[in-house]
Amino acid sequence: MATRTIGDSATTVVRRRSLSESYLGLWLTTTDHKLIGLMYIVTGFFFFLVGGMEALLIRTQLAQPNGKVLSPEEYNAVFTMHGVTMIFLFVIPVLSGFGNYVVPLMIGARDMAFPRMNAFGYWLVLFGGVFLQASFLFNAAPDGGWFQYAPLSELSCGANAVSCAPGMNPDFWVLGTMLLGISSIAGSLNFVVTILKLRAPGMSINRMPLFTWMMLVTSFLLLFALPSLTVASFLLLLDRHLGMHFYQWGFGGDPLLWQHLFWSFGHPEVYILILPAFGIISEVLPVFSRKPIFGYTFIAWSGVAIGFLSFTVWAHHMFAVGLPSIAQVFFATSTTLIAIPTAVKIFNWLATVFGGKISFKVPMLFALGFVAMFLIGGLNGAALAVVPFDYQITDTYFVVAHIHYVLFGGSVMGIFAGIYYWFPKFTGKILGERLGQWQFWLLMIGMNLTFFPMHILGLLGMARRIYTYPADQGWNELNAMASVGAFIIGIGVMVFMYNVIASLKNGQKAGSDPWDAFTLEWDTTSPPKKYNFLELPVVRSRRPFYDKKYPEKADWKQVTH
Amino acid sequence: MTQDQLETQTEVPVEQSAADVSALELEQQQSSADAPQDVSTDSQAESSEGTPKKRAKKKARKLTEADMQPPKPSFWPLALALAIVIMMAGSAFNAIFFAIGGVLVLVCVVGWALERRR
Amino acid sequence: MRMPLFRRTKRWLVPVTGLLLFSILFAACGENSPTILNTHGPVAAQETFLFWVILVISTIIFLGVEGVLIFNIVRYRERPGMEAPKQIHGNTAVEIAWTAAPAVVLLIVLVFTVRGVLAVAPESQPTTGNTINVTAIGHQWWWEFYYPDYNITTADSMVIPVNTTIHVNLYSNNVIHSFWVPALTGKTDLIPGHDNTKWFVANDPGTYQGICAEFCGTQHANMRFDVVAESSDAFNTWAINAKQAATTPAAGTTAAQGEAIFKEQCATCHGIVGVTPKYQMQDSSKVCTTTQACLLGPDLTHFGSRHLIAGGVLSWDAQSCQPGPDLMTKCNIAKWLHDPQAIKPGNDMNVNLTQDQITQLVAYLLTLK
Repeated sequence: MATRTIGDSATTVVRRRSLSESYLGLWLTTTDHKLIGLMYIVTGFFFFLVGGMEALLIRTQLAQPNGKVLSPEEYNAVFTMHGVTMIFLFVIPVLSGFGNYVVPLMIGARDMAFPRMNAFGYWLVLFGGVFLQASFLFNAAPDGGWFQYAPLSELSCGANAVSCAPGMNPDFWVLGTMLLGISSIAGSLNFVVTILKLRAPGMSINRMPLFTWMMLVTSFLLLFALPSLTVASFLLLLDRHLGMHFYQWGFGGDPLLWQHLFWSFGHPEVYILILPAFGIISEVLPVFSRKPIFGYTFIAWSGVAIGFLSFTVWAHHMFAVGLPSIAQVFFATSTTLIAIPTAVKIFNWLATVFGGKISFKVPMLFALGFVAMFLIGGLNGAALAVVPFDYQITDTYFVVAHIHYVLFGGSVMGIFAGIYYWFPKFTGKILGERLGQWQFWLLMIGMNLTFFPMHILGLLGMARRIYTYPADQGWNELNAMASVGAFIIGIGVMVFMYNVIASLKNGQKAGSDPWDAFTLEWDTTSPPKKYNFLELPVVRSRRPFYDKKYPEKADWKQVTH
Repeated sequence: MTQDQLETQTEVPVEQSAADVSALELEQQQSSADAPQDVSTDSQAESSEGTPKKRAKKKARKLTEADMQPPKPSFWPLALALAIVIMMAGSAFNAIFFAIGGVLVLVCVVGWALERRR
Repeated sequence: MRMPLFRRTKRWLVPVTGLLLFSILFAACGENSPTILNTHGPVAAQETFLFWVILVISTIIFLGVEGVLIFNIVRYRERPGMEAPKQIHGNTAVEIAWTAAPAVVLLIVLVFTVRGVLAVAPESQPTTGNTINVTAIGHQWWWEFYYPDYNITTADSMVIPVNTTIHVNLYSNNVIHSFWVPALTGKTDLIPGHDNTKWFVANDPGTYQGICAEFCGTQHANMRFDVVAESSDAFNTWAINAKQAATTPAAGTTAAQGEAIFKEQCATCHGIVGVTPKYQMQDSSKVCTTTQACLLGPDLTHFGSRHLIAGGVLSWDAQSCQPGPDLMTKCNIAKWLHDPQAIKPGNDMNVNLTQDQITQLVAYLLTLK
């Protein structure tokens, strides 16, 4: 091989390397779902850091009464961008990235159904994210809240405010979210087609992994919810730039129209943020309990139920706007209903762990932490559904506590469970256990210290979205506590980053199946080959890889699915 | 073995660069060294076709050519994403960008549609 | 067998740390907070009662579920020599049971919810007994209150009689605000173009803090107000006084100089009946349908009998605002007049007054009882 004759080299054609063959070009032009998945996750994590910095700024400003760290204008931009960045640029891209990488492997496919559209979705996230963050450079960062209510979004800085001119801030928000919406629609279409059409033979819908189920439901939610946001945003652009009056009361328009349209998107959106995390937990808990998931059918169908119901509850974000009582009762009922499938899931997860053989590897720590924290988020969410009580605590820190228990205690914990679980598959190295434990406990303690006091702050009358508070309201100690907690979370995240770098360099090598797992993505090398599977996998139950490794105890021999 | 590989490569279409060729070689060597993968393929071959390793290896080699290719890379997704961002930014901030972006979007959509994927 | 991180920790440290951390929460028991837990009216009482119901049910569920979780973790943790667990896939009967059980609990809570909604709804306003109408008008970023039955306009403080139904009309011609008085009632939004109303009753005399609870721009944080509940007699006295034009200070006094400065510099934005040209108390919600039709700032006719400044960003008292060398450091009105932008950045007031002018204005404002 080392010596070639001139005759041999005649067969190799000498030509310029094309773009896609350089290292950078490989990434810029890839359509491989695994590389795209990695790009989503890394980009999403970068925005997590941006959103996290914004959170730390908020907590520094609020650590003491009459804080002077941020001016009111700066604070309003920071809290708005914290929400926008975390929701649109961190949670959705990272969960999408997991979906991208793992779903084709889980269902035994070679790639997603539409590889170029897959890449397209990713690049829109990157460029859309950069576009949104660039608003800071123009001193026009969106500052009307992540929900951008009209008429504030139309007036930019208030009807009577003589000292400011309408700015570009809401336009950045509108365009940024529309770009990210297009990305999500592209991704969702891809997932739906892939999951429905590219499953390996033998993998009926009732046998596919729960993470795939949740990605399917999430994709449908995105497809049906994003049009509301797109329409709402488009009408806002028309109002702001073409002199129309959809949200302007003086001309027969209605500010509430914005709220109805926005929350018709906004509510399904929160389930979009959590359902994939439910899926990750449903994968991790069984593997580390050495048992199958308890009640697969109920968990899968409760996900579908949540999906449908999520379109019927939107006005529970609007209980204080003065809707007629019949509407209040309707939305109270639908919101109460949607709590039921969520409760079912928690019980099923508990039953999965019950009677098992629990190994406390880091993915399992995060999964168990998820269950513990999401329960709290579910309980305070059910409290918010009690409308008269909601009249008192909506738009207060009680709601901030709720959203962060479900988003941090839920989505973020789920994301870290997924990272620790699948990192060996993505990279061939296992993330350090000890550092992972440090990170887990720092995050658990930090998040509870940050967000639990907020329940009390809400009960004590502290409203949301205030850039400062007076010293005589009795809120000082709780705010200080919350700020300390936020920095503890920050330290936890830094431990994580160190863990990633150290593990990539010197981490323990992972084989193809470090966790003795059950699903098909583990039946590949770590990382998987470009083509994923050499041959079509054989699927005869919900745990095809378990069946393959333990043919005597195989699922298809014990039960029929 | 090496001779076989060289022969297979001359049959491969000219589009493949030297980089791709050596990558393929590397994969083949890896896949033969990678125990679980081959063991599973072998056992599958055994249970489904009833013939031992030779048949399975031949099957693996046949897959090497066409089926082991992941989807071809393409720069149209990135280009279209960029074009859309320019167009959207222009829609609210600058009509010229909107126009340029619009043209670019059309170009990218057409380019994407007409791209050869095989 | 504890995980590597905790192998050397003393076990007792865990509950002790937990208790210590938990006890901090009680340190912040919210003295002087506008808390919902201390209600003074039937509407708030209804709403807060539900909090206690929720707290009890949630605590039971929390302890139960977390208890099972902790039990599982402890009882079924991996130990050497443990055999592979039974591969149970589900149990339909159990799953139906734990779908039905939360449904029942939630249904019970829903009954409470619906009853509560109907009890405090606008259409459930008591029809017997005394009723006072007030229109709450939200500005960026202060509260205007107009009493249509009395033709009184005031700002920052809403004076009401106790044991009387207060019917509030909620009006905004700019952005969305929200009217919230935790001790007396939950919140209702002021939506431009909508005629939202609400009602509440104050059972006990006192001053109750009000808050704007919908993000309304730069100074949303400083859009507070007070509800001052007084006996009916005191309220009637207040109402009679409020309808009077402003007191004219004696000629040659500091206050008179202040009045002159007011006419010159402040009357373009602030109304004082009898001083600001052509200014009368009026129903802004009917007249100021566009932002240009009315004065920019709050009515000051009886500023001297209120105690809040500029949307409650500061409060003041007569004691600290007596003329003296340390007026500028002790008197909040003086501080406000000196640099309103420093106190409430982004608000509409821009003035440049000398210290003398401020002293005179403060003296004048104090006379406006």
